[in-house]
Amino acid sequence: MGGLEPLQSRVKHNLHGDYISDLPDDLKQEIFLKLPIKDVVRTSILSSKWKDSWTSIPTLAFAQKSTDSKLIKLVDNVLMVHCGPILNFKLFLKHPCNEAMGRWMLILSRNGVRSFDLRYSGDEKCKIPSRFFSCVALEWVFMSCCIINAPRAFQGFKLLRMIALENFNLTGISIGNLVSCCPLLEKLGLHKFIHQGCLHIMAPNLIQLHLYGEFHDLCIETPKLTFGSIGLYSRNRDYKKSVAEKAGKESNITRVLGYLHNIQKLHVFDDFIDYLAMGPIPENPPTIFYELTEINVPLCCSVQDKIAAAFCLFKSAPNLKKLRIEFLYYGGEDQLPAQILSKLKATEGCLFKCLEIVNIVHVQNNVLLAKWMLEFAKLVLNTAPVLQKLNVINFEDATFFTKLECFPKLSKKAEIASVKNDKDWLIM
Amino acid sequence: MARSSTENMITLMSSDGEEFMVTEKVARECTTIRNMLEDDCVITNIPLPNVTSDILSMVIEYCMEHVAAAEKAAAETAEKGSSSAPAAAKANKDLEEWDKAFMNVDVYTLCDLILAANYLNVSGLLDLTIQTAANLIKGKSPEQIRKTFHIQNDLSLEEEEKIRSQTPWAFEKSE
Repeated sequence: MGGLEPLQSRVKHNLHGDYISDLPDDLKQEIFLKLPIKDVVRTSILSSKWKDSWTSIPTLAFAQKSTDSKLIKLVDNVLMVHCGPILNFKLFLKHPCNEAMGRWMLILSRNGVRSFDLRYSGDEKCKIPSRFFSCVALEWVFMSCCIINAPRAFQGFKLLRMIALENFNLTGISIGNLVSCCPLLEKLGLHKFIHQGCLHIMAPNLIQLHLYGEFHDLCIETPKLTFGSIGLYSRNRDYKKSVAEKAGKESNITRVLGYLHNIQKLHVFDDFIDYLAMGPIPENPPTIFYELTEINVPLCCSVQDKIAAAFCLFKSAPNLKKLRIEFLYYGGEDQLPAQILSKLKATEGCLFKCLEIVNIVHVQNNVLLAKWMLEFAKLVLNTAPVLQKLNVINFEDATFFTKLECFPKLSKKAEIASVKNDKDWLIM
Repeated sequence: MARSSTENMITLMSSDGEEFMVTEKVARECTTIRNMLEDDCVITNIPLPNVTSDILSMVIEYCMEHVAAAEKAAAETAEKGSSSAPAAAKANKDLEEWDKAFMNVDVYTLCDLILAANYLNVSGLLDLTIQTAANLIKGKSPEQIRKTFHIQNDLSLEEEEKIRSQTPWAFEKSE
């Protein structure tokens, strides 16, 4: 320290001085980052010091406010005048600009683009040119509503750490191939997609996985995964057919999730619980998930297998601390909840041993569901020794709470609360 | 909460030789100082030849306010076992209001604060000052921006015309 000349002159401000123009380029760029592109480019006319300041900004973001042709001209123009690397590129589109996208992607691939963010909302999917796959420096990708055509010779994104695709079709290679070609991948999000056959996710460094789409079977080899959110959406329940033969001996819970030894948070949505319920569900499953502390699962109260599958998850996770359950009813068998539950909690003692917070979520209006919620709450209050909170979400029936308060509590600290919504639970 | 008397005090010295005694916790809000302390834990006197006393006192004021807010939130969480969402939201809003009032400065001070926040690496203050500067530019005409920041336009008419013709869309009136 001490080598720098103290800037004494700054103590008394020169009231006609122009300080902002003399800010170092990196700080000017920080200001540009907070401005729409039009404001950024307009600074070029302020003075000679500003003339070329914007042209080397590493982040370019465009949001479509006007017509397609105007936006295309604008992006073309900026890319032409800009010099230096473009590391981050963001595009918010209302209409697909398929032709222009090709030339933009060419420029981006030559500039070593590291993050590519395409938010598109239109009826017709936008086509991602295969040139996208030559952007080999990519580290971060988000694309929505698009058709992605991969070249056969695709060598992989060797530096990619995060990719999220929403409402997409991938052709040329399979999703599994795309994922396994990205050895550093840590976060993967796939939403609204249809995958024929078994979806293979092989990613040695994957930490977060979000899946929500249609697939027939699933194979996850991700030893480092700590957060998994998996939803299966299926119109024809094709997974029933294709899994039937494999699931003969083993339950899908152990077959599909059995290797996720490091998982800490697991969210299961929609038909995925039905998928997990296939195959023989062990009554006393082995402890698989030592690290798992948080589960979010739907409880389909009309299908015994699905309830059993959810309980199998609880039993496999002895250190479970937080639990969120949505109670659903699709019609079908009207079984008495008390009977089923008493059968399921068979492995008493270890179930809910560490449970601290439970959210029971009311989704549909149904008399049987209210009974189920009550029985389940009773079970938790009776058996969870360190329970702190039982939250009832979106259900304000007074008699329900009166009954709830009467149940004996194993944990002295346990409180019951009525909560309007628990959306924050779903944020990681 | 009363400050414990054993808490380490650090002296920061501005470019014009003024000394400021702050707690180590407040000083650590500046990543640059935090790194120095981690390299050499017995350091108690830090000269900051790039920051004048008037600007340094403002940086310290900002850090103290934000440390106090964080301590208050932590104490409330410890007391109730969990933080209540509405209380946390209100505390956040109060701090935002404080930040907003704190940014009621002239453009010279603003630029000096940007430089100091960058040099001392106070990420919250850097973000706040940069955003404030951006707000003074956003949606404004070049004439307005020049006036705000006292920028002398030294471009010739020909140069100006050339810039306008290169990116004409940027100079169209907003739709």
